[in-house]
Amino acid sequence: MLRARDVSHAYGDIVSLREVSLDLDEGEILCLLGPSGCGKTTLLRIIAGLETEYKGVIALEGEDIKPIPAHKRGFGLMFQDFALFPHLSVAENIAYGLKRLGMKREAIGEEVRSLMRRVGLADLDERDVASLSGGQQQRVALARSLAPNPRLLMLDEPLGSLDAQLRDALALELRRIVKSAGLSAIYVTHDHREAYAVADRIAVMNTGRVYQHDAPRDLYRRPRCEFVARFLGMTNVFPKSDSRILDLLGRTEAWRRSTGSILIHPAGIELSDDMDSSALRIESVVESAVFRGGFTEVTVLTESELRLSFALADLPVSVGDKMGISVRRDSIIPLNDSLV
Amino acid sequence: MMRRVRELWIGIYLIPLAFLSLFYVYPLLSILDVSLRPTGALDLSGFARLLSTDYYLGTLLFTVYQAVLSTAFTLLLATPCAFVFARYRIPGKSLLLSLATLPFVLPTVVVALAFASLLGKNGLLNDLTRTLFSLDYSPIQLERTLAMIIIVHVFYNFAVALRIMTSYWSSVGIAAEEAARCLGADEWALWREIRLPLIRPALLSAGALVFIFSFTSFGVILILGGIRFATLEVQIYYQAVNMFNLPLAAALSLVQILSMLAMLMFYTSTQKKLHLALASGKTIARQARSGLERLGVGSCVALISALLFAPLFALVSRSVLLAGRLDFSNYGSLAEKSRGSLLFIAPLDAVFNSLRFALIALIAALVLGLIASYLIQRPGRLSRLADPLFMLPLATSAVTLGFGFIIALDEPPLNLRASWLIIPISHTLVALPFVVRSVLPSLRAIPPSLREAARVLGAKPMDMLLTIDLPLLGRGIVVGATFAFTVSMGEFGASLFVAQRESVTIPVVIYRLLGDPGMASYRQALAMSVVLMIVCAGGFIIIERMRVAGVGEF
Amino acid sequence: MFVRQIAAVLVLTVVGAVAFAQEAERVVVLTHDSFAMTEEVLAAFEKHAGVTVEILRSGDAGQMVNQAILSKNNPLGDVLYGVDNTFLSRALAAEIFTPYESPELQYVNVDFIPDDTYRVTPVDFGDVCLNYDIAYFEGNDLNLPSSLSDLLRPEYRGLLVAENPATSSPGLAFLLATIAEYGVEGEFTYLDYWQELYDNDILVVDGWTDAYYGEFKVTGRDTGSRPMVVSYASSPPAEVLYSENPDAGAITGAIVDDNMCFRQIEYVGILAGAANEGAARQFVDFMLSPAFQEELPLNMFVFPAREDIMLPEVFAEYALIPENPAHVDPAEIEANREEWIQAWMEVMLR
Repeated sequence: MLRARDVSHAYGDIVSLREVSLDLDEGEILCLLGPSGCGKTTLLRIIAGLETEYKGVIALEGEDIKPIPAHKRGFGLMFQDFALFPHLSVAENIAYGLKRLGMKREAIGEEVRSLMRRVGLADLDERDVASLSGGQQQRVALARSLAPNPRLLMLDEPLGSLDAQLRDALALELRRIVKSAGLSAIYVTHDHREAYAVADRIAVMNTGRVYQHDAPRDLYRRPRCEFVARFLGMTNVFPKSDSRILDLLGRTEAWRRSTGSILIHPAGIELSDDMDSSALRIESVVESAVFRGGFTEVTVLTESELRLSFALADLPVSVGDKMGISVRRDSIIPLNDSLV
Repeated sequence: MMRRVRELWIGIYLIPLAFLSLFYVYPLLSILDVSLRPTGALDLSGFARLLSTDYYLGTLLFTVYQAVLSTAFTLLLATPCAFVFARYRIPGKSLLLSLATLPFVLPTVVVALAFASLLGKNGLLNDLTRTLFSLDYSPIQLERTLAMIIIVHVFYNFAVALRIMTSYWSSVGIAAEEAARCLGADEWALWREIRLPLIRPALLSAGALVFIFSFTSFGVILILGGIRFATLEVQIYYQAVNMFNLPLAAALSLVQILSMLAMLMFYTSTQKKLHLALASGKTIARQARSGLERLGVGSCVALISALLFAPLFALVSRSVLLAGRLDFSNYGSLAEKSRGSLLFIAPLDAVFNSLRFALIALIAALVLGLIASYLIQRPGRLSRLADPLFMLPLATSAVTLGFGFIIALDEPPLNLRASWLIIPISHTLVALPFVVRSVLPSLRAIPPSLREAARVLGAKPMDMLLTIDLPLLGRGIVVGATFAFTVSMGEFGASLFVAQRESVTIPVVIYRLLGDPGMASYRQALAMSVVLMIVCAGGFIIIERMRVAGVGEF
Repeated sequence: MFVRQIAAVLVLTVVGAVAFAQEAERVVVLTHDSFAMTEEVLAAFEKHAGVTVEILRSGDAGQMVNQAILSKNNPLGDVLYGVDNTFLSRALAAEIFTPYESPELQYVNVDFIPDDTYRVTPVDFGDVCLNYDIAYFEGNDLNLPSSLSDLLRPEYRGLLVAENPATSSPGLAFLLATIAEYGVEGEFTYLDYWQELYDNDILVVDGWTDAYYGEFKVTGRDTGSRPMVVSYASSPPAEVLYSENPDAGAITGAIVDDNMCFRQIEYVGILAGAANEGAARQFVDFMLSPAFQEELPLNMFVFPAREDIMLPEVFAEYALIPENPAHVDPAEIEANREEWIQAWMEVMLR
């Protein structure tokens, strides 16, 4: 539905996007994931039409949207700080886009009421937006961007200012609302867990580039470079030249295919009583163990002094315990840094 | 301990109130008392005269009518310019903004001369069009028309509106606007539904000032409008000075003050509190990129040049041209004390007098104005009343207040009738509303969370003022300071009262020179007007510098 | 002790030095803002009389008189100089003066002394007359008008600019000249005269500066379009004195034919309740002394009230003094000023 090809952008001397290419399918939720300053918000603003000075092509249904001004794109954008209109009430905020479409007053009223029900804001219509809580403001902002029934909905860190518990619940709710409306959406976040929960596909960005563009599961299983792996919270990354890793793994195919470093995927590390012959067996000592609820996050030091972290199903472990672990061969992943 | 702090704050708040009571309310009440009870019994003949004919009603209606028109045109032109100035990077912007304030210092007589040489029958513009289109008549016939009054009011007040709105607009973020664009708002809808509602406080502040200025306009109406047009202020002067009909003058003064008060109360009540915490965040000015943006920037700079600088340029060129040739002899003679005359110092010495008074008035008006702004911003009835109260000196006829000073401040320790102190005091009185109007919108836009954050971080009230408020108010304070400086530099009514060497200010010199016949004194007056502009421009630059340095230190 | 001194100094500065500087021999002169005199002459007087003089300006003549009346019970000064015959009655009616008969009065033109109680003393006079651009009249071969009625003739159509009597002192003086000539009753009153002036395209502006510099056309100056203006008989010599090239001679002239001018006489008086009446008397005598009278023309462009004073060269050469100026009684003026001006406005401002 939406195609971006070689999009570059700079604020003065500061380059914010470098030849970014992306695709968004009809009805798909695409997540732009990356640290702050990676260019994800800029890309969103370009698609929304708020930034017009860029190189490259962005096409909607095959048609270049560059000449279309922001207010004629029919896209919805939910801002990071919500950008509610301080001089309008809750209902007036939500009605704003509908009014611009030239809808009749009664129809607008009805639509606003139904939207408020959908986002769980009933009875707040005449309230001053400044008197709302963060969660309520977020719902108003969502309702406002959904109201004109946009062809494409963009959400910029929509849950950024909320607490973790509310965040998990709202992320799911957002996905449900977007999917039930049959919308295509671009969702910007810096939290990979939020991205997994919401997205159909995720584009990981850093320093103005897209590093990887995959479905959440594929992204998790096979990060393609060190940045992505680390950004997803994986710490078992070792330079290919590290002699300890060569000692441990030998010149495997993964080692040969890597151009930079090697990831030992935490999902492939288990206790060694697993007698799978395809796995590497390593003796180690527990260095730290953090209880995380359903599992324990364990960091061990191997004999060759490699530090490995992984999740362990509910088993009591304590620092200093000797532990035999196994690493599945298919979880030794070559990270390809030259691909950037 | 807490009580001590509270008492201290109340004491501080009382300072501007005491100033206002002593130097405004008390003299005003004194003169009203003398005027309305000349023999001890109440004499309402003035009011009876007011109501006996609809002549004075006509005067009031005309006063309102021309003030509404002047305010509307000023805001109409200043709003888009303020937008451009807040949004786009323009080389030399802050200097341009300051220079736009220049018309404010010029005595009306000089402005009249400038406009006559620009728009008059034989003015520059008529000459130009005659030559261009080979006409044998003057196509621009504005002398002594309402249009001319409005043009000059816009000329005088444009900078007031421009500076107040620009400073405020820079403190309003653009997020709401971008949200509206994504929701389908075109440029027109953005103006109507987002931008104008968001800058409403500044729009109202600027509008109120411009309205008061046009309402109480005196010299502009007299000199440029001609005798067909008389505002209340002109009537008051005429009745008080020429007719010495104090009951009628007092009645007219009261009508003027009360109508202003009503207007100001209305203004305060409509200034609905906006929760700007949501919309705030700074707007970073950026380069104009698209053709449309460039056109906007270009036309604003062109407008300012045409409106403000063309008359000033006409003035400057007139001061250096003699019979078609360049001649600077009139400037050369400014350093000489041309006559051995008493009280007539060398014109250039007046520069130092002017600067001294301007500095005192600037500091006093800033300190009092800041305290007053905090007082007004506090919730409560007193604060609501204080807002219009501090504006009233602008709405009071100068001659009424002058007479009030004479009879009220006549006993030690306040025998100020002949003291030079009366000069900075009256300048401060007039400059105060400017400081308040410039600072207040920004003060209201500071989210309380910022101060709370500072308090939690261990800031004492004074630290909070120095580290949070003052830097955030920087822009507004500079605007207020510039106006205070300008008002003082350009004022000459009070300086004429006191006859000591140190009271001879630049406008007094200009006024004196224009009172003497002869080309030489006339050209000296023009040269002195140019000197006044240059000195002010220099002052503006220093004020701007101080802000940069000040904020850096805070 | 030292601290106290500092405090005293501070109080002095803050509260206003005037209140404290109560020296024995000090005379405060209340005057209008056109007042001017040379420093040396004043210094000589101060030295000779052993007093210090303080000058207090109070706006224009009208404002000054009104302030003196308002502060009658606590006078602003000892002497008031600059009240003229158009405001004299107001001041006298308010009884703000103490009579004083100066010995110098013997040298003054008796016609200038307004009453036999000597409440005020004449100091100088000036005549409000029409001024004209010499080059224009010569270039167009045009005769000068020699009476007020001449101004109604078609050849002077659109040539004259005058000031509004409601806001300008020469404007009022010229109005009074027309009132003296045509009266307020009868078949052809001053209002009928002004009606015809209006029909003959007279321009009325509000102040002298605007009229003289804005509308009066003088050959060689790039402003204005009308070659006749209501100004003073002393304007032509002043124009020469302050021209870029004084040797070139007069470029403007005054028309001083009978009944075309109105004479403004300025008076000085001692304010009732003066703190220092003795010094005040000395100052009044001083204002009539040759030293002060001689420099009046060059400082204030007015003529000395003393008859035995030599005029400065430029005045002797270029100034004309009307022999028969128009006359209106000061009491008449004060009584009818508002009515006359109001009626005038109705004719002129329709």
